[in-house]
Amino acid sequence: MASSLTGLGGRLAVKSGYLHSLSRGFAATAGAPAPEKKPEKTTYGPLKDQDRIFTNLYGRHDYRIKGAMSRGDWYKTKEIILKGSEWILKEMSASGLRGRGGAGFPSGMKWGFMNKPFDGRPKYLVVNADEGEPGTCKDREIMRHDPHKLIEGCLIAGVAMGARAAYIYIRGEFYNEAVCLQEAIHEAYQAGYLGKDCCGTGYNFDVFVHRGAGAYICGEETALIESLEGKQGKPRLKPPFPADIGVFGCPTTVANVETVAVAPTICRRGGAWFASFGRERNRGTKLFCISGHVNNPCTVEEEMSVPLKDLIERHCGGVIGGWDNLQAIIPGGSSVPLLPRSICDTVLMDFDSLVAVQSGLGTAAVIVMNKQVDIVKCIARLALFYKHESCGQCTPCREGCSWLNKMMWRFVDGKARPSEIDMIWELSKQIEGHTICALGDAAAWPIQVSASFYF
Amino acid sequence: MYRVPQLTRLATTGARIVTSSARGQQTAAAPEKIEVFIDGKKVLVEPGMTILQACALVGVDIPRFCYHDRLSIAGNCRMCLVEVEKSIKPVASCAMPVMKGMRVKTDSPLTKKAREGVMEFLLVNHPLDCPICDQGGECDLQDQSMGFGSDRGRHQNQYDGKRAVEDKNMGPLVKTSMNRCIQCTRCIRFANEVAGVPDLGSTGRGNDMQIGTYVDKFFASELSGNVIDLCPVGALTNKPYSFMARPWETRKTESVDVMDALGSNIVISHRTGEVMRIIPRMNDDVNEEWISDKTRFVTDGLKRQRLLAPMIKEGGQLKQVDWEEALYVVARKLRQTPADQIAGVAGGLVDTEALVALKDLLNRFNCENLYTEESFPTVNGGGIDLRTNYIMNDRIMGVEDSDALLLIGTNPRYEAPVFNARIRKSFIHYNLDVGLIGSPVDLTYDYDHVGTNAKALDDLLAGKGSFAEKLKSAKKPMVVVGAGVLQGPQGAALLAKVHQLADQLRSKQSDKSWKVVNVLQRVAGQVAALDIGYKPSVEALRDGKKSIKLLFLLGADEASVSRRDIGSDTFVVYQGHHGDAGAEIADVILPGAAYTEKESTYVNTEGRSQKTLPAVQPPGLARVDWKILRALSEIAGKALPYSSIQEMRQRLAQVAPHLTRYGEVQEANYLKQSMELTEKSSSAVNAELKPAQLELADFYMTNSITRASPTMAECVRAARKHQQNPHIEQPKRHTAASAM
Amino acid sequence: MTSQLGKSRAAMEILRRARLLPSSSSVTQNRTIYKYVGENVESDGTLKGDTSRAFNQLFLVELFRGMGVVAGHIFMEPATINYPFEKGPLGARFRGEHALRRYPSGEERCIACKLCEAICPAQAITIEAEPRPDGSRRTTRYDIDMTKCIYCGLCQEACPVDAIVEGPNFEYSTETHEELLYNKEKLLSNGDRWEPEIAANIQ
Repeated sequence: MASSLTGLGGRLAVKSGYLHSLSRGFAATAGAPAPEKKPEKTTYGPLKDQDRIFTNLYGRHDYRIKGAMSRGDWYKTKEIILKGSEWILKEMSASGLRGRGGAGFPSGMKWGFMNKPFDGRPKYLVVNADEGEPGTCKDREIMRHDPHKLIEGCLIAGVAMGARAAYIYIRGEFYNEAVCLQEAIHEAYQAGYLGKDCCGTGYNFDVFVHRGAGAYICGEETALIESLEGKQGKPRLKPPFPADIGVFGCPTTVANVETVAVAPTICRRGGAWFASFGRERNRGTKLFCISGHVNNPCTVEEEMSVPLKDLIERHCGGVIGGWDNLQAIIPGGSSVPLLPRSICDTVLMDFDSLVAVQSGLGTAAVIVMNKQVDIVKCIARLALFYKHESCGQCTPCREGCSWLNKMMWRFVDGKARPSEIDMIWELSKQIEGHTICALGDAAAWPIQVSASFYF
Repeated sequence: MYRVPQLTRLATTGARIVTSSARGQQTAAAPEKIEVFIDGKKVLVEPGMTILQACALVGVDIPRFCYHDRLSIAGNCRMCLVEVEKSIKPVASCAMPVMKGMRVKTDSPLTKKAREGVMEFLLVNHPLDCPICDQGGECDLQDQSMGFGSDRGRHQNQYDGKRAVEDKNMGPLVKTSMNRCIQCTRCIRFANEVAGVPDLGSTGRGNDMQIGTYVDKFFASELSGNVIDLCPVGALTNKPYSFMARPWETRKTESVDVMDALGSNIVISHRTGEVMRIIPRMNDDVNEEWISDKTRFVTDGLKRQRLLAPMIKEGGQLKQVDWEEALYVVARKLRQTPADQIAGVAGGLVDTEALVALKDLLNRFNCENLYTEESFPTVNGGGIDLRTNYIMNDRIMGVEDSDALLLIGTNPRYEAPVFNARIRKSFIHYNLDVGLIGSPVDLTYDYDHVGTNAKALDDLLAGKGSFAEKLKSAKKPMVVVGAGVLQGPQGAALLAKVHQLADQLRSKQSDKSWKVVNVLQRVAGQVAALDIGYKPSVEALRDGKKSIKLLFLLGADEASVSRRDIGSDTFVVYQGHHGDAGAEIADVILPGAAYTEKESTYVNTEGRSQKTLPAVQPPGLARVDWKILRALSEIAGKALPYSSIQEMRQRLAQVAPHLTRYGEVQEANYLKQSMELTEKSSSAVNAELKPAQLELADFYMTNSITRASPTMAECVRAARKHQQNPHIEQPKRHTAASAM
Repeated sequence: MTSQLGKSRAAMEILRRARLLPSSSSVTQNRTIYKYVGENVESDGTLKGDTSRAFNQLFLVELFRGMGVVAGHIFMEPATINYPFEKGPLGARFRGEHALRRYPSGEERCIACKLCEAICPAQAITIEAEPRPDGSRRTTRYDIDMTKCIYCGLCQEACPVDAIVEGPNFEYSTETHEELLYNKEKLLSNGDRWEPEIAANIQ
């Protein structure tokens, strides 16, 4: 925690005084969105300070309710709730928000799945705060520095899907974050924002924090549900999807912390405001976590579709040894394929453009590797990670990850034959798409791509 | 204790819908069938079926490891991946429900590639020890790797090595070799779902995931042996049978078990005149595909303590003689003894043929003193004259249709483990409510403990208590009374009470074929003996009530008649297969055949007659029982009119036609008459209802064969030791209603 | 005979040149060498032929020629060997008497997998097995009826651990049938006796 804080190093001047602009924005866009279609933007970023959602990302201010309220949280929450589920869902759909956990499923649609006639079972919102993806540290910043954004988001998302309660499944290692979050929840209860009759709207909503026990796989939604139910965190078969049978057998939506935390701001400032950032289908602002061989690793909120090069040059002080010293970048956390240097020059940081180059936005955890790094060893380390974190439920992942790991370390040691490069590529293909959850895919991709570019 | 919630069940276990609808559980009209295409072939299936089941309908066999018809779906082996049109990834056919118009390709390159890949992964860490593996020859992994695997391995053993997993000690029955485990979790699911003993589970994750008992402990289940059959590889094997034989060298004989009154269908594997092992045979009406540990592991009891030659007691010592002499001695006694001083007592393992032959023989000598060791009330409610009184009228299958079950004085978990598994299945999947009157025992499912004393029946009759409500509101209530508590002086009154309760419940039934009253017998031969007309109790022989000078014990080994009861001058003939209590007091021993050695008929507790086939020859000079009696009759001068098994069967059919209608249940009628004959007694029966088998250690040794088995002795020891294990929380069940 | 053949060859050549026969490069195969199997023609009818025939008959030329062959063989090495004292060479894959081998540690190799029993076409092998006190899988009985055995060698091919082998020994005749019913002890002692040769052959 300390290291990441020092890493932030005071680059981003703290913007003050945009609380004012924020509330103005809310007032302005609460009405109908502009009917005429604006011409599409062609350049993205840098994000203006008044457009930032997470204004206490670096913990310079008070994370408690007082500080949070001064930053605009819990402002007119009651009105938003009273506008009702339909309105919130409409705004969310209009905002074009896509899930921030990695898969990028449109949130408005996903939350809408829950709006089914009541069948006697309560509905639940589960917030996936099991942020374990290597390189990712965005949810953590939210939870320890802006917990009220998340809690308010839980309430609004809960209202949108008619949920009775929210469970925040927080990674076990995030002890301090869980403490902050619990404190914030406590404050919210005391302020009457949660519990019976939230914000005086008559809506009953509870938020619980559940600490995990330190398994990466519990970040997978169905494994998270299993873990929440007190079982071994092993992904379930789909169908049935959580929206039908989720936690405790009830309809459930699992959403990422960031997705939930931006919801109140979207509702306050309007979906159209949010949609004004980024490219078509890739709207909004996003927290990027840049780590690896950059001069100033940091977590930063930026507009979607910001060029990767801009992101690194502007916020991180560039690659160590200069841009030409760049070898590869993993654009979205360890489970997306890495980008070789040639692609990094031009690629935009959003879902579609990264998919177009056979990678993915994932959690937007950019891991930069310069030419001083042994990329085979890096991939081997990732293979070890996935081997360690595989739940062992289904065969391809259980056996495949450990096999890949063994082979990768042989590659590092130089004990492999050239023909095994083709073999490891084939093996990773045998894992990919054959498993219950996406961990198998995640384990296979880095190896697949590095096998085709670097070995 | 988990019960599948209603909605989850519908959605997750599509597999069950098929079975349950077949059971008539769902009264709603069958949903419209949907059309899917398997390899281009059109097939109409019920919605909710999985792809794998749909494939089975058109005869396409999908390879699988983790999927099992009778267990929940895990979907983790990924062997059953198939290509589905318009799906990018191959889908796990065992878990994916069919959708309208789905086009499944089970033979496409993608499917084949996926299977080959999964196979390769499974073999990466599977040891190459097929030659020393007992599963070799009947191993799913072997077969499927031949069918679907690659012809070469790419794993670099010299560098990468294989996983090594410590073997677990699961007790004297199940041998483990965990290196071979492919983590299909069938055993875990069996233990949790069917056996109801959550002893098995997985620990660790990823490549370090291990299947085991968490701590070093005995797998304390009466159904533990079934995991051996379930295990698709050789990780769990039969410990007593280990290394004894290969599947290709054994011969298999289909037969019926006699360890309990269920008549589980079994296959006897034998080689060179020796029973090697017993495995279950599927019969959905009786045992599904499970058998109890006693059934499975009793084999070594068949080889020990056997009576190999006829013997005559001379000067207190048994002397081996030849058949002629022995039969001559018995025949002479038979002729000399006045008819009313002759008596025959049949044990619990005796087959119907021998029962009929003995009855015919003694009847020829005008003797009617034929008794069974297992007693049953003869007065009240027609006693044994009406079949309704002593069989399980609503069948074993009936439990699945039933919605409220009252167990009286029985512990089905140990008296009929497979039946108990059926109750548990019904409890979990069909929301059966169970109540128990009798000693509180661990039944593996929650039940309302109505009371330990028979007085609780009066409360139920009076409609007191919450379970009485449940019984009353039930559409198909079932009352199962254990034969064990019907023994003794209070038995008749208790049976009458049970009839009264059943009558009360029945009066509300629209379905008149539903009889409510059921008796769970304890021994395999009892129903047939009562059908034929044996008197169910040896009480008459005790305390010198009758002066018996010639006592013929036909497999009577429960020491129900002792020397003290009959006096020292009584000539005792024992005919049976084991040197047990009966042989101990005998003056002449005629060695008979055990159930694996003869073609014979057994009638199970629901009145289903089933046939055993001879797997091996009787050892030594032992002979098939009815043939011994036939020979004896000849020497005694009153030859019985049958000399072949066909003629014997004809005689059986004469006595009671249902005895030779194999596999069928003869409906017991005259329910009304039996009710009319029931003595209405208002006085409460004051008896503590305590079944004989309360805990696992009581389960293993219940008859002469099991008493001779070292494996069973080992099990008793292990079960006792398990109880003293301080690290194991002894389960306390029936918590649901202990508050009541 | 040779001259006849030469003649016929010459005739064929002429025919071929006259393109009456297909050329040798044609697809159809031509037989150019025939062996005359009919009655031996002793003379070709010319004076020269008659003379040489008379010469051969008069001076018993063929007899002397035959004697020459006999004389030649006197100095040749005899084709037979002096068996009990001398033995012919054996191939490394010779399939002789069976033996059960051990590992260098003295542990018997056989693991009672019963594959040899299963594959034996003559059903000459009988195996019974049970766990040894140390838990390993071992045979309690390993019998080969050597009078049933057809020495096909399938047992040694089936053996996954090279335990049962057909060794180089072929001198094990007995006076009674019973002696040829080998048990495990006999087979193991065979293995011990022949191990150096067997090991060398398996290499």
